[in-house]
Parts: sequence; C-alpha cells; structure tokens
Amino acid sequence: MIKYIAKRLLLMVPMLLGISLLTLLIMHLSPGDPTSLRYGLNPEVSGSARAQLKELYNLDKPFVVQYGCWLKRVVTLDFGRSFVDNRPVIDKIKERLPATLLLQISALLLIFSIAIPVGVLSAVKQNSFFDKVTTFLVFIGFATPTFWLALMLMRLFSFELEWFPVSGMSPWYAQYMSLPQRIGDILWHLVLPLVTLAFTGLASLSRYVRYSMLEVIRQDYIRTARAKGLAENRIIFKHALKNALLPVVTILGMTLPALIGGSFIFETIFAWPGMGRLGYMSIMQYDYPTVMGVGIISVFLTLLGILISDILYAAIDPRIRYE
Amino acid sequence: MLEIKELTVKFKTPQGELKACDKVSLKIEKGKNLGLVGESGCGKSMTCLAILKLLPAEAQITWGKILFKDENIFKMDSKKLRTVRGDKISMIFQEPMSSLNPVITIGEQLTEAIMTHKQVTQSEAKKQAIELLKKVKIDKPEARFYEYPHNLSGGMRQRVMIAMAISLKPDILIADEPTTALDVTTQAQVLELLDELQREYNMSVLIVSHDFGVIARLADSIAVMYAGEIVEYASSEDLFKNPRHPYTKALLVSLKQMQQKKDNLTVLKGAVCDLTKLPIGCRFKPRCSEADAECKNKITELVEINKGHFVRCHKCKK
Ligand SMILES: Nc1ncnc2c1ncn2[C@@H]1O[C@H](COP(=O)(O)OP(=O)(O)O)[C@@H](O)[C@H]1O
Ligand SMILES: [Mg+2]
Repeated sequence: MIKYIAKRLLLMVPMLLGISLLTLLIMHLSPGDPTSLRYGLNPEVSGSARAQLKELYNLDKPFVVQYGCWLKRVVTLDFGRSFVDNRPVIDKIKERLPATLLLQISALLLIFSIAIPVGVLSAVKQNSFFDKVTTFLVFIGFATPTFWLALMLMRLFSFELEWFPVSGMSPWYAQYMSLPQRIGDILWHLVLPLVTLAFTGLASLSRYVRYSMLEVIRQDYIRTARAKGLAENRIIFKHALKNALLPVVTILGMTLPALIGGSFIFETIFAWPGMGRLGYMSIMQYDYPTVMGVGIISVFLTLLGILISDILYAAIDPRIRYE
Repeated sequence: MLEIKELTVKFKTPQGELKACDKVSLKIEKGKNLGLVGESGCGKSMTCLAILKLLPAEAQITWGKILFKDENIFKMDSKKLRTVRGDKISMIFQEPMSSLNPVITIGEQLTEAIMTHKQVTQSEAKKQAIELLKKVKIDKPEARFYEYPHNLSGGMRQRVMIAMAISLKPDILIADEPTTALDVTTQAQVLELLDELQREYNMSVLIVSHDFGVIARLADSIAVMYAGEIVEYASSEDLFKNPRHPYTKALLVSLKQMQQKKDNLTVLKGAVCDLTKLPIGCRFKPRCSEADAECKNKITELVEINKGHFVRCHKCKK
C-alpha cells in the first residue's frame, strides 16, 4: 500500500511539470504581449506595472529561463504581488481558501452521504415507487441550471420566507459574536450555497451509484453469496456495495475539478468569499499574478483530489493494492 | 429427499417466450449422486438454480414444485429459504473466476458462511475454515486464509468454492459444470476431490455437465436433457450399457471417439432447436438419424421402458 502511494506521488511530478508549462504557455498565447495588453486595456494602472510584469515572468529572457524561474516560483508558491492592492498573491489566496474548502468539502460530504444510500436503495428496489420518484427528481436535478436554482432559492428562502441570508459568509458584525455564535452564523450562511451546490451533484452521483449497483447485483459472486444463505442486508452492504463503490470513487476524483471550476461562478453568485470569487474578480481586474496563482492552486487541489480517490480505490480493491 | 416435479421455467424474450425447462422432474436420494447431462443451452443451469430459488430475476417459474424433505421450496419464506441455502443444500458454479467476491478475503468468505448458520466464535470459525482449506488440498491454508481471490488460480478458486459449499456438511451439493472452466489435469483432481468428499460426508451430489466423461465419474443415476426436457433417465449402469434415446447414443458415441482420440469425430450435426419455437413433436427430430415422419407431429412422453429406465422417444418400445 505504501509502495502504491509512493508510486502515485511520483507520477504526479511529471503531471505538475506539464501543467506548470501549460499555464505559462497559455499566458504567452494570450493575444498580443501580456504587458501591452494590460497596459493598453487598463490605463489607470501606472506604467510601472508593465515593467513589473516583465520582471515577474522574465519576459525579456529566453523561454527556457522563463520556464525555469516560473517553476521555481510555483514550487515555492511565490506568485508575486497583486496589481490591485500590492499584497502577496499567496496571502490573498490563503485568506480565501478556507471558505472554498468549507463549501466544497461539505458539499462533497453531503452529496456522497445522500447519493450512496439513495442509489443503493433505488437499485435494490428497482422499479419501485421510491425508484421512480428518485428517477424523476434526478431528471429535474440534471435539467436545472445551477445559477437559476440559486436565484430561485434566494428568492424563496431569503426574500420571501427570510429563513436564510441572501449571500455572503460572515457579515461585518460577526466580529462582535462569541465563537459558537460565529460558527452558527457561518453554518446558517452556508445552507443555501450548499443546497444549491449539492443538488446537481446529487442527481448525477445517485444515478451513478444506482447503475453501478445494478451492475454488481447481477454478478456471479452475488449469486454465490445468496447460495450461502447470507441475509439480504449483508449481501447488499458487504458484498455488493463494496464493489459498486469502486467506479464511484473514480467519479469522486473527477467531480473535484468540476466543483473547483464551477466555484468561480458559484461563489460569485452567493458572494461567498472563497478562492473562486477571488479568481473571478482578478480576471475582471486584469490582476495577472493573482489569476495565475489561483490557477495553480486550483490545479494542486485537483491533483490532491485525484490522489485521494486513487488511495481510496486501492483501499477497497486488493487487485490494485498488490499490483 | 429432493424431488423436482414438473419444473417449468420461462423467459420473456424479444423473439417470444423461451422455455428453458419444460416439465422437468428429477429425484435425488440420500447419499446418491445424480448426473444431469446435455449440450449447453438445454436448461441444466436453470434447473439447478431453481432448486435454491436463485434464478435470474427475468426467469418465471410457471409450473411445478420442488420438494425438499416434503416441503415446497417455492413456498418457503425468505427466512426459511436462507436456512436451506448453504446449510442443507449448497452449490458450486461453472465459473470459479467470477464466483468469489474479488474484494473480500478467502478467509472471510469462508467464515461468514459458517457463522451465518452456526453459533460459533470468530476464532472457532477461522479454525474450521482453515481445516476446510486443508481438506480441499489447498497448500499453506493459513496464509491463503488472508489472501484475495485474484491471487489464486482457477483450480484453487474452485477448491475454495467447494470448501465453502461443504463447510456446513450439506445434504445435497449441486455442482453445475464444476470443471468446465478448468484445464484437463485440474478437472480430474477436482472430480476426485468431489468423489472423496461425497463419500466422507455421505451427501448427495447433483453433478451437471455437458460431458458424459465427467458425469460417469460420479453419478449413480443419470438424466439426459435436451432442449429443456429430460429425454432419458436411468441408473448409470443401465444408461451406459443400454442407452435407448438416439440423443444419448450419439453423446456416448462421441465420448468413445474422444477417448480413443479419433480424428474424424462423427459429432452431432446441427444445433439445439430454438427454445422459443418448439415443435409439437420430438425436439430432437431434425438431428436424429432414426427419425421418421411420425416423429414430427406425435407428442412424445417420458415412458418407463424398463424398471427405472425412462425414455422420451416413441420408437423405443418396452
Ligand atoms: N437471463 C436470461 N434471459 C433469457 N434467456 C435465458 C437467460 N438465461 C438463460 N436463458 C436461456 O435459457 C436456456 C437454458 O439456459 P441454461 O440453463 O443456462 O443452459 P445450460 O446450463 O444447459 O447450458 C438457454 O437457451 C438460454 O438461452
Ligand atoms: Mg450451464
């Protein structure tokens, strides 16, 4: 198992190298010279920004040198200073990351803890009333655009019923609250974004679990388990579920990039003070160093998610573990 | 002890209704082995699975009953059924590669079978499981206990399946083509093992194969199945000495030719008839060398032509 994890980690090195190269290339490929683009489009910023950018990315040096310097910065997480407020980019990200992680991780937990039982139940009771109702809900879930759902929930639960706050995470007066109050307040703010985020993910994942479970239930070893006289619960939760979760774990690794990518728009709708919103604002403000920083950190998070799902996979499947 | 009475299993297919078993009646007596032989697709597996009510969900039992110690298996509630499965009647399957759960250790798969039916502690169950692994001649049973199925060869996995099936000393062991997926040497070893265990435990084995050679090794009596029907049923001795149904004769001829390693096998021509479009008359007629015009439309019944020797062929007279 340790050997397996080490191998996975080693495999990530070339991946990181490739991605860092790609990000630098993308900056180069953006139309025109990045310095003149910035300079031309945003005349309020002083001309020194042009020099700053040139120096930051060594734009006057050969590409190999540029890449070498860029790589060094990526490794040391030094992305320079923001053009907007001149603070180190990494500090700005550090401030925003907890809010993003709070939202994403709780969404993932919510999605998995509901989708797995729902998927299993609708597979075991295929074509039952429960299965039909969930199938119907799943189609609604697939068809509902996230931004629309967000606005509808805000309208109903914030404006009309006034149960939850419209947006944000921690209002200015939170600093006068005691710690438990503050935590409660954050959770209260979390409800609407969390429900919105979980809704669509729930639809696809529960469908996936159902499909995977139906596939496994047909397998010979499930028949063997039945032939042994095992109780139905044990057959489903021990013999079938463990196998059915394998493809689901892979999905986990694939969901993460989607969640992180989606957070750019999503956090903006809910004014959630996370990294996605920071990225969105930075793009709007042509804050090059911050955009690059957010991009690289997002890539790190994605790779981390994939690593976690690989490890989970190996934990369930002995065939992978001993390879 | 076990009586299958007029078992009829149907599938709904796009081509129409498919009769996988058509009024199949069989009897298994205590300590005696029954062989079930026939080409693949003739309904052997469905007959076996019906005994433990393990048929695929699409299958419908439209007629018949299966009595185990005078109780109808189809009428049992799920709790009662579970006490029969694995404990009184157990089963091994054709595909050892897919019949064991890939993500659960051999040991756990064995002990859970034991602990489901017997009130024993974990460590006691483990002791018994290792004993069983020894009994089915698996080397290093203590180490194998912790291994996963993918570490074992096909033959070894089938041995594990056998260990699991005999773990509760069942009255009946159903072995559905237990050696078909194995190579020839392993086949012989597994059959020998089954033979040994059958005698030691005094259980009844229902041995199923498309290969008369495999059946001959174990069975006391033999049923020959063709296109969902039993076409001949007799004691092994009778059947080998005096086969009556043309299909049985053809199977025995090809077995003899195989044993003599003849090059030009006079194999059976054609294929089993379409189970969705069964003829009124004899189902074997299109392939039968002895058939005449009468075979086509005359309904053939299973008739006792000698004591204990049943044949479904109107040309076979007493
Ligand atoms: N799930 C199924 N759906 C439709 N037909 C099936 C299904 N399973 C088996 N059959 C049909 O039932 C017949 C008997 O199958 P089976 O008992 O497995 O044959 P055997 O074990 O003798 O090779 C076959 O013709 C097969 O096509
Ligand atoms: Mg079969």
